Amino acid sequence: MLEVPLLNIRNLKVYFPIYQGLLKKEVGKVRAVDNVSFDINRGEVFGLVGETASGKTTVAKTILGVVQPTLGEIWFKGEEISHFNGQRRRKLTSKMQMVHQDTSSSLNPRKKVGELIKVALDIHQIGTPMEKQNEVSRMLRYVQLPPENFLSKYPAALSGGQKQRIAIARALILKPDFVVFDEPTSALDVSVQAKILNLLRKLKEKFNLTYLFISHDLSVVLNMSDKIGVMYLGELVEIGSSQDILTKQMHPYTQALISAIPVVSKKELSMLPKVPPLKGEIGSAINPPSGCRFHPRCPYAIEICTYEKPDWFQINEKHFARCHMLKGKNINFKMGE
Amino acid sequence: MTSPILSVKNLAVSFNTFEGEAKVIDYINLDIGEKETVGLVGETGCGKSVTLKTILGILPIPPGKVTEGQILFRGKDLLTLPTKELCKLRGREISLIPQDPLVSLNPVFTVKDQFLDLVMRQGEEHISRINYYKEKLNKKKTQGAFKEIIAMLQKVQIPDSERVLDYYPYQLSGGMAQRILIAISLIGSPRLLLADEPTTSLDVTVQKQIITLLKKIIEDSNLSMLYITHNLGVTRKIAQRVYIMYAGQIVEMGKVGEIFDEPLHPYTSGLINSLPKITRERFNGIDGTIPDYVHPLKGCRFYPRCLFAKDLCKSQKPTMIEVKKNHFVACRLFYKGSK
Repeated sequence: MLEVPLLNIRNLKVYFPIYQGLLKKEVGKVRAVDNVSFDINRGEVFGLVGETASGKTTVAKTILGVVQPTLGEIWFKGEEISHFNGQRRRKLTSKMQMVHQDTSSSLNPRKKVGELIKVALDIHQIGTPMEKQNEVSRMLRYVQLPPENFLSKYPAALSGGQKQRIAIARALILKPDFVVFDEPTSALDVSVQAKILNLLRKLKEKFNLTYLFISHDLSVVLNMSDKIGVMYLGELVEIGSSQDILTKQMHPYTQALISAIPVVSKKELSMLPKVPPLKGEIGSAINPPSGCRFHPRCPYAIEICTYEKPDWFQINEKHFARCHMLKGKNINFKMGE
Repeated sequence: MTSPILSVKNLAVSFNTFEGEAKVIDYINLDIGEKETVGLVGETGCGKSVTLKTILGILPIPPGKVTEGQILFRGKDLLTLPTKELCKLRGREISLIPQDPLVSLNPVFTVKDQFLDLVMRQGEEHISRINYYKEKLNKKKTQGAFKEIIAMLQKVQIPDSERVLDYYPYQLSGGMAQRILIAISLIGSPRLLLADEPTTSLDVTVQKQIITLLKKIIEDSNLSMLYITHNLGVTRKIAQRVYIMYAGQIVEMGKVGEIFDEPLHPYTSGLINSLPKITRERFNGIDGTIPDYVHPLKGCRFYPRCLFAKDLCKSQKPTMIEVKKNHFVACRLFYKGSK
């Protein structure tokens, strides 16, 4: 039997209307996510990268039901979940959890660590008070914080790395199958970031988890993910295994992103593709450019890019890119010397 | 090395806090040569920005206090210089590129206004209000200033610079705001730039643009720069020499390539090992956190987190020793005779 992906996203569109004037007339739409499709298999880490405002977080929020999709389907374990609400949504949330970006604002400053982690068990009415207490302590131990020291602390007394661990414990206490990490380490120092990333790997093995890992830091995503999707202005432009994205990237935007990674060692410097730097900055999702949305910044743009949206081209079994240049493969992007 | 444009000598800075005196900067030495870009790298809370503020003389005193040391800018000690003299230096000789582009611009003024006072008034300590408005309303003078501003905006590669003059900061993107801040810091044609993490809040592609721009400006006008950041990769791109700072102490100094390819100090190598690399090697973090500044260790402040620590490290502060040519490290592991 063919394995069904854990999560299946088909032609997802999320538009936010813009209202203006006294009568709140709709004057436009922010096309935050436009026609995004991808699969996440069980036990996989799917990385989503792109610049600020490329729609990464909106995709995650839509999967979790925080934002309603305008169009498109989200399949989770063989069920279409985008229209779920009430009881059914609540049941679902225990299987899908999220770790937010900014921990200092996503942990309630007036609650103690113990209460913060326990609240999910309260909502889903799992266990007796005693069991809850034990479960919280067990979770804290998993994230390598000794419960006897941390249970009665307030978030203000914690360091950035510790807060992030609390957020992870809170997300995992319901034993989800699928966890979204939205820039989990962007606010941390590198020495702490490494610890957290290693912890995430360990927890994934232990609890058999599937991750959607969102970050603008490509070096983190390349290290954490099995598969990577590159987003630009609400659209996916390339999908592939992280090895393919790193060494055989096809889309000019992916190349530019990778060549801009600030790397440290000589060996890494030689691995970067040598491409011209991008012009300008990411455009507006209200009036996205016609044709390929990347064309105003693309160093290789030709006429067709300005009016026709490129199709997906398959490079290998798991590697797809969306660029006119790949048609007939008459131009080979040169990798670094 | 040529004679330094700025040299920080034996600087110690502390803060009076509720818990006691926090000895943040612990006798550091730092030199920036003419036409040289020097990186100062360290994690959050290690005293990078305090160093920078002390150099510029904008450290809040109290609670801050410079307990010892000198900051020599072309032979003049900035710490003892009267305010009037300092005002002449700031912006015209030494200039700051601040950290957060969108926060550092005043939201209620247009780009034009943010520049205007600088162009017309830089270096003056006190201005009478009447004279101020008289000059501001003088069309001839302001027109001249605008021309200067537009030329500067073009230098930092802002497209359509005449229109941008009338923009408010909220209309600017992060990259554009950062370019404007760079333009502001360059308008007094300074000799020394102090950059405080100018690219941290930007996307990598924009970060690359800004670094290329900064590099070009520095080469074109022969500037020196102190570049403060926690990002090692960015330092490699922009600086020639780098100081690694940990908890208010300089632990290692040397050429960028040498330090990043063959780090000596346990902290530096730990930091480099923590970075997720595109070679997908394993990375390990460093256990523990930055120490308490109120009761710091007498010896090496990295002692509690160090894997190679010995008893002597706890009580005696290691001195900087030259291990290779122009590569200094403050660690007992590299003392002669010790292995």
